[in-house]
Amino acid sequence: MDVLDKIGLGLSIALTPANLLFCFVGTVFGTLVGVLPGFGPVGAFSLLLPLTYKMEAASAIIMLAGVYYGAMYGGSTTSILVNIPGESASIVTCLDGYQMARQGRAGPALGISAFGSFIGGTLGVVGLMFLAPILGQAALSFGPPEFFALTFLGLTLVSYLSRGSTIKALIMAVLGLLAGSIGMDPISGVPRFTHGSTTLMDGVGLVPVAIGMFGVAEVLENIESTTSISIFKTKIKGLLPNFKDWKDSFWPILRGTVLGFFVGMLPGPSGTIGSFASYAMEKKFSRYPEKFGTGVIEGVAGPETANNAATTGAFIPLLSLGIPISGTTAILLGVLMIHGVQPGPLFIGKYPEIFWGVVTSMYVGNAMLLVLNLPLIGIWVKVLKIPYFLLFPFIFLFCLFGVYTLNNNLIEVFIMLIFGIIGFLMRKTGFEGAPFLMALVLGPVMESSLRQSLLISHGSPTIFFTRPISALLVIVGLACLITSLFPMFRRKREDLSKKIGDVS
Amino acid sequence: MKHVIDLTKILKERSGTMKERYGRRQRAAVMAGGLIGTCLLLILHLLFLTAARGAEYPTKTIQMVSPFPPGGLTDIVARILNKKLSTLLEQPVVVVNKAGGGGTVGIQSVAAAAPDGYTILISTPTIMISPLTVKGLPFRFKDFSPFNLSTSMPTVVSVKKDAPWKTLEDLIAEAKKNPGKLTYSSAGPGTLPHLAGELFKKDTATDITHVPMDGAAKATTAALGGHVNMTFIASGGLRSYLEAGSLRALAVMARRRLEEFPNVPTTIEKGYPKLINSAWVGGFVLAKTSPAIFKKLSEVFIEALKDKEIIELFKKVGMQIENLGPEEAAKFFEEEEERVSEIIKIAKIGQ
Amino acid sequence: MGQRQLISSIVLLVIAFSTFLETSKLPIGVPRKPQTGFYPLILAVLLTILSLLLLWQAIKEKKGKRSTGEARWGGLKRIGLALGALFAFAFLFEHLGYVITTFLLIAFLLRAIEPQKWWVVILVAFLCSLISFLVFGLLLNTQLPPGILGI
Repeated sequence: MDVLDKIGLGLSIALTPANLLFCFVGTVFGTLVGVLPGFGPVGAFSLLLPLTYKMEAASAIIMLAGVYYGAMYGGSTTSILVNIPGESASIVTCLDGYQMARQGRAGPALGISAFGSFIGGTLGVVGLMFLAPILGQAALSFGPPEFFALTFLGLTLVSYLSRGSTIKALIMAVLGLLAGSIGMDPISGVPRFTHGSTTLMDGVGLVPVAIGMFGVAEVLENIESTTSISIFKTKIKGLLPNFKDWKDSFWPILRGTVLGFFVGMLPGPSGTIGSFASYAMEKKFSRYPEKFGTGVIEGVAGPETANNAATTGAFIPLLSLGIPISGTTAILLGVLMIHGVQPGPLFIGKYPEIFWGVVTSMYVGNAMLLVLNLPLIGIWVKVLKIPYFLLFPFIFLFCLFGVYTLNNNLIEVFIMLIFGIIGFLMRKTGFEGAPFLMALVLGPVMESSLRQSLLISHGSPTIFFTRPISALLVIVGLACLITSLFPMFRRKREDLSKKIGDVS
Repeated sequence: MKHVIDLTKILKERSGTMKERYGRRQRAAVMAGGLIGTCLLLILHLLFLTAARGAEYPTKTIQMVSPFPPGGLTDIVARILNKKLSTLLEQPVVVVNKAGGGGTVGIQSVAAAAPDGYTILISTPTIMISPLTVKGLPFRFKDFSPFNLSTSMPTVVSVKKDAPWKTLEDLIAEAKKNPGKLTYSSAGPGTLPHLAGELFKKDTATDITHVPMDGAAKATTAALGGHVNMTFIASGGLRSYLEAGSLRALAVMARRRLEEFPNVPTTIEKGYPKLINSAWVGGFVLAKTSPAIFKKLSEVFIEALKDKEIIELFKKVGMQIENLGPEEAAKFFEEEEERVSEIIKIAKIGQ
Repeated sequence: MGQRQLISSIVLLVIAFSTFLETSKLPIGVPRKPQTGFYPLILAVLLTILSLLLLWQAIKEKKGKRSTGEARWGGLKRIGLALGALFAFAFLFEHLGYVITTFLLIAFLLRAIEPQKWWVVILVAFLCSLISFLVFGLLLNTQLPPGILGI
């Protein structure tokens, strides 16, 4: 078969000693970078860029791609261990992963995360191989109305991210939408709520907010009482996922792969959206949705698989059309251009060695990462045994450095601290951070897409319903919204009676 | 990790015995001694630092601020140049990315830096446009002096491959017949494609609707997918699509035709002599910088841009090398500023 | 919990109100052609409605139990100290350089929150500074502020 030939070509390139080395360097670096909160693939790229000038184009992309999907492996580590998302795509992993760690199940959490990432990444590569050209074209049919419909649908799922009162989740979502509107209005350029600060012109960044609300707030809450209470149960229940874990994770992993892969192709923070969507989906399909947020392995397996599948999916627009969907893929584009390679619709045909070389090296890279990360689980679990009084200053340091190295902007560090305080207060009053973050990510896209669509349609809202994809998504979104509001009235009564007996 | 825990246990025991053996006063004395010692070291170090000044520029690392995230087309200019510049200046020139606010965060950081020539800026037209369109920005274009206009990329008027308009005239005719109906995408409010679009409107006397997208890539995708009718993007970002035929270029908004696409007419040929727009990249320092340093930087840049390897790299990326020194650059920017501020006023951008 | 909910709903109403104030300075436009202030305005309306609902809930259960206030004061002092240290770190970071500020922060936190022995404090703080220097300064070559000692 033609494809087998191409795979052969690809392997002949991916398996050269030099490229194996570059792949290894990339994936290791990527894991390290993913573990550090804030400092993400973009930062790593800027460090490695000068090295890539002397390399061949294929080698450069192999290495940088390794950093990119490697970061998705490492990102879950801190999410699970200390409730700090290493990558924005790992925010959701904090919800259940950290709870699992507190119950002494950090090992299985990390394990299923590694395996899920491997499966998601590998199956994603298969999809990339066979479907790239077709899907690339399909991605073009997504215009502003479709993006509005998609983000609208995403926002209606917000209530699935919370465990407690729906009203509070909705309030958090609205606050997230408001926070997302801080900055330059994407259509008219007029600054909103910025009070003259140029940093805020870009809005409050997702990273400072996530690290503050999840990481800093968590530590503050833990040290409030006394540090000699062991935050983590010392009896570690096994280092790897057991049979039940695998059984429970089977479908989440499969669903996460498919969902993540397709969502990954869409512009914007597709890894983040993919993992959020996977979490919501797993909660919807679960037989015990109320347990999500207490340490349910499906809440880790699905999202972690999804974010790795999404990084693979992100390569589709890049390689088949030359369209970068995020800052990270934009750098890969730049690297190709510096090497005299023109990415674009003709790329796959003109440079089969690069395309197939990179794609096959992704198999290799994912395998390397799995082998690398599994033994590390043992080490990470031991880290948790360090007494908290020693650990917590280090966690704070982590957060501070992580946010600063993002943009060398001290104001973002302050934003993180402020949101740390806010996050702490939120925990004391029963509000949750996940809906806020999801809204922060989706809100700006939803608003700009809405207004762009109205500009295109010259003011007519029927544009959302005359186009098939957007019509479908909007209707599903409305359905979700209505069904999630309905039980709210019923649940409010339950909430009230529960709270009278509640001593939180 | 077990060892760390043991170590802490041992330390706890030891410090207990320490407390017994040495009195409070003695321990305090030791700590005081340590503090004084450290202070002395600090003072000495500071003295040495100040003594090093007075030598010729540059005597230490120069920061080249790139107000965009790494990997973008502007950033590439900085990264292609900085190694050669380091060699020529005999001091490291380091690219520092300070992204945010469409470039304003990085530009502002340079505006706030010391005018000693150790913080230089690589910028696109944002430095000229944003103070005019964004209220409350703490810098003006005249706060900076350009010491080099390095590269440029002209804007191309392009449509989707199977669009019904094969020439610029067709497009303009349709726009005139249906005012307000045709749409164009830009990289965002106040960006170069936006200005190009408004310039187009004014010069061709047509009414087309502006649909701001989030960045050049999204603007291009919108045109590729037919969600908008046309777009005005700089040539570098469009090359691959034009080559593949997914986009059709109707005209180049420049004085000369593009080398790689010699069949695409210029807007001047089509009868619109003022309809030019290009994405340029230039090097800037604060206007208050000393003339000697300014001269050094401009000389070094001119030389670097003559380097064969660098010329090759820029060609690969699709940028035209301008390499205009300070006097020519100043003239160019004067004309640019006039055009840009006029368009901003007419199109009421930023109000 | 009832009291906290009361406070939080009032805070939210204040936020909604200030949003109203801010958006009044912005152009609103019409639903068919929304302008800058339109979207935040709708959000402010939604927030007001939801906060009022929350307030109603809170008033209804004001008769609920209050949370124990015992450990609260000691806890608040720790939080205050920790936050103070973090903010101080941020302020001093670009002046003193990352190595020194790291050292100071770790030393302070180890001492102030749950006092450890001086030996432990100095050792761990030193190690943290060293590690951050190695990892961030050398290995990753990130652009961290050098501060007065040049490190």
